[in-house]
Parts: sequence; structure tokens; C-alpha cells
Amino acid sequence: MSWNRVAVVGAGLIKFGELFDQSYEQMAAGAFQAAVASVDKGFDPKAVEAALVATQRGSLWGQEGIGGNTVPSAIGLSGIPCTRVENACPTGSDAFRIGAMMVASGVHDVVLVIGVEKMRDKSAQEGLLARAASGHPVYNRGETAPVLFAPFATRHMHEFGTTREMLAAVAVKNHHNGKLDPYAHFQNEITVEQVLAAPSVCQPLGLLDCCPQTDGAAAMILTTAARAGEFTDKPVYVAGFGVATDHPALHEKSTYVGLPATTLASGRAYAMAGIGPDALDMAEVHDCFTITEILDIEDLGFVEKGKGGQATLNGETALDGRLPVNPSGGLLAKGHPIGATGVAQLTECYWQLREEAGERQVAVRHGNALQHNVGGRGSGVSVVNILTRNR
Amino acid sequence: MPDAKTRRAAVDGWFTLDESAPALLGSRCTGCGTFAFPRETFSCRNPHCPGTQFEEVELSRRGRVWSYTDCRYQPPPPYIAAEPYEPFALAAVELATEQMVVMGQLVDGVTVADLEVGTEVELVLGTLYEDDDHEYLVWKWRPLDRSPAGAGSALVRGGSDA
Ligand SMILES: [Zn+2]
Repeated sequence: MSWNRVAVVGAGLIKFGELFDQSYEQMAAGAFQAAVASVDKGFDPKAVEAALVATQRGSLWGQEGIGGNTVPSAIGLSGIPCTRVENACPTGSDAFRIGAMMVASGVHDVVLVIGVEKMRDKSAQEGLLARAASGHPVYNRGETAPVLFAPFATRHMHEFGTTREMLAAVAVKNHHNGKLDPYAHFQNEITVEQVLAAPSVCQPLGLLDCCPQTDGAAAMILTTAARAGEFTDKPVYVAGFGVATDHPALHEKSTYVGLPATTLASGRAYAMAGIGPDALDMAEVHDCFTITEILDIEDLGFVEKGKGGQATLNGETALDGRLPVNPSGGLLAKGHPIGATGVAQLTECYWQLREEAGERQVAVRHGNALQHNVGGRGSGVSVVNILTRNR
Repeated sequence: MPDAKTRRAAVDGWFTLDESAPALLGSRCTGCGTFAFPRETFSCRNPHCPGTQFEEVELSRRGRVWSYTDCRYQPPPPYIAAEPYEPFALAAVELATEQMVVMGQLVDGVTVADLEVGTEVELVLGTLYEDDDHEYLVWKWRPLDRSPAGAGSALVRGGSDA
């Protein structure tokens, strides 16, 4: 296979939080302006040839059947090709992957990827379950996301001796990182005691084991490696990506202590990038719940299966640890505006590889970073992207 | 006393309505023997099998708890909650014969404190929700009495589910 090498030359976010005062289009425009302003040698917005808009719950914000085409007009680019991408929790990361393929194919030289999601404007009944009403007698009667992840925690604790304190260590770490990230929804430290004392949501998960409902937007500018020098002397390249699906129903899972879609997707991404997890400097992974980060770091090969809780407790995934995970604060502290989440995680990877992450900067030894999402019914889809600053 | 409501399945074709011994309805591939739930009609779930022929089978009525949780907060609609809301427990149960793990609610009155990985349970019919004329049924798991002293008998105090 021969394809053009792809580079990221700009990336930006708006501050995540409860953004009742901003419209969907205003949020997208804010992220786009931040990405444009970030380009080292300047960027004429008219250089954008095509855009992808990542929004997972478009039907809730007047985007049903529209395909995101209110966005080009809102950012002054009416007329360009624009397509909305939706792929469960990996919506943003899959839009990035598809944008990279648009550049790699040679069809477009400059592609904009914008993730934008409003989570707070509608009530939970319209949001959380609007997508889960397809006739399953258990799923469509209140089986919300924590109900689907909590049994993984129970089983992981049973098989490997993972403890509540180990789960809590994920939340404590990510809140610590979030405090150092000016874009994070929550910017406060929490303690293990606070996590353990929080109201129970779904045994054994409590309120602080769960990510919040957050509004947010993020944007990235992709171009060919050949043209990257027009925009910056510090581009970051797309090294590899992978996508995988899995059975949507729990009773078809081969395991209750891992998410096979993550393993498959990351295997494909590592193979494409030609590296393994030992060559990563940091990772942004899908921590919708504390248990999810523990499953992720095992399924992505950062630690042996069953050792994720202990590794977290030992600080191996802290900012100064062996392999820092979620330096941005992750979904738990930074927030999870679904379509924006993956694009924001990739933006964090971009900043970290360019060593622009301020107080939360990790040590860059190899020049590689990994981004991961997993989600959908029964965690039936995962996307992994690997970025590198190595030419 | 009002007339008894009609008892009917909340979703058709997923389980039998045999009041004394209900069972989940699954399928078995005639080629490789792989079980599926709910019934497969198109293509075998085993990616290595080209099978397209399936026989309907009743799945094991007993199994062991593989994992469990509960729902402490009232889920949003379409969940229809009793007033006041009572948290319910859920278990993923490994079926004795098929070795498949099927999620279901526990019968009323059972909490996570009554459960551990390995607890033996059996399938019963329980009410998922009601309207003026109907009781809509779903499968629920009921822990079996595990000790001669009857320590497990308290677990079936939600007797209306049985
Ligand atoms: Zn078969």
C-alpha cells in the first residue's frame, strides 16, 4: 500500500464544561479559531479543502439528516465538502482516522477535523437512552453505561484481586492531571477517601468513578508531510491507526476482564506504526469509568492482564511514571463531550509531542504517543491512533 | 379485587412463558454447535463457521453468577420505576450447559450483599413493568438456597417474582 504520509500542523480546544451560553456552531467555531491560531507559521482558513465534523448525538441538536453542514458556514468556509462522522464513543478519533485517510489518499491536501458535542442542554432521558431503545428487555429498561461497565469491575476484582483503592487511584491521578490542564472541566484534586466515600452508582462504582457530562469542542488541521513545512517546523505525523468491532451483547463476550475491540484495534495500529507499547512516551485512553482505564492499559499492552490496578497504584501511569496515561485529566476530569473527546485526546498528544503541555508535560524519549477510545453497545467498537514526531 | 392483569412477555420470542419452569430461547448451529441468544437466524456467531442452519433450543435454567452490580439511581425513561424507586441488582450469569453469560435482573429483594461470584441461580419470570391491562414479563435470576440451615431462603422474599 502506498499513501501520502500525513502531518498534523495545528490543533486547538475550547475550555470544556457546561457551555449553555454557546451554540453548537459557536463551540465548533471556537475550536477552529484556536486550531488556526496555533499554526506556527500562520494559516489562512481558506486553505481548508474539506472538513469532517465529529458529533455522536447529532439527532439531539438539530443535526439529524444534516451531516454537519451548519459548521462550514459558521466558520466562514461555506462551500467546502463537509461530512458528519458518528461512531459511538470513538466518534472523534474515527473522524481523525478518516481525515488522515483523505489526506493519505491524495484527494485532499488540507483537511479539518472538528469534534463538537453538547451534552448538557438535554436531559439524561433524551441523551443517555435515546440510543439504547432497540427492543432488548434488559438494555432498554435502564441499563445505562455504568450498569454495563460495573460488572467488569466486579469480575476484575474477583479474578485479579483488584481493589476499590486501585480503582480510586485512577480517579485521583486523572483529577491531579486535570488540575494542570486549563481546558479540563474539573480542575480540583480529589483524594482516595473522597472517591471511596462518594455515593454508590453501580456497585462497586461510585460517583467519582464516573466521568461527568461535559460540553466541548476540539479541532485539528491535517496536511501532507510534504506540505507540512509551509505551516510549521514541528509537525507531528500520523504513524498508524486501527479500528475494530466486537459483539455488542455481554453474553457474546469472550472475556469479562478486557475489551477485545481495544486489543484488536491497537494491534492493527501498532503493526501499521511499526512500534510496540514500549516505544510510547504517553497515552490518552478512554477512562469513562475508573475500571475502563485499568482495562485499557492492559488491553493496549502497557501492562500485563490483571496488573492494571496495581500499576496505577504504583504510579506507573502518573505524569512522572514509566508511561504517563491521560496527562490531560482524561474523561474523568477533563470531560467526555463524545464527538470532541477523541479530537481533544489527539490534541493533547500533539501538544505533548511538541513539548508544549506546560506543567503537565511528560518526558519525550521516543517521540510517540497513542490515543484510544472504546464504546458503543457492549463496548463493541474501538479506535486507536498513534502519532509520532519522528520524521 | 380487580381482575388479574394479563401476563405477557416484554419482548416476544426471547423466553418461554412456562410459569413453573421458564427458559431462555436460543439457537444452536447445526454445523458447529455454537449457541446464540437471542436466536440466530442469519449467520453463525462463530467466525470460523460458515453455518446458516439453526435449531431453536431452550437454554439452561440454572447457572452461576459470573459478575454482578446494581443500579442505585433511578434510570431515566423508558425505564418505568416503582414509586419510590427501589434499587435493583443485576447479574451476569454463566449458563450451566452453554457457558454463555446472560445478564438479567435479580428477583425483588435480592441485593448485591446477597451475591458473590459463583452464587448458583435459576431463571424465573418477573415483572419488568405494568400498564392498566398487562404485566410485562422478563427473565430474572433467583439465588438457590445454598445452605441446609436455610440461610438462602431469605433470598426469595420477593416471592411475587417466582
Ligand atoms: Zn456454526
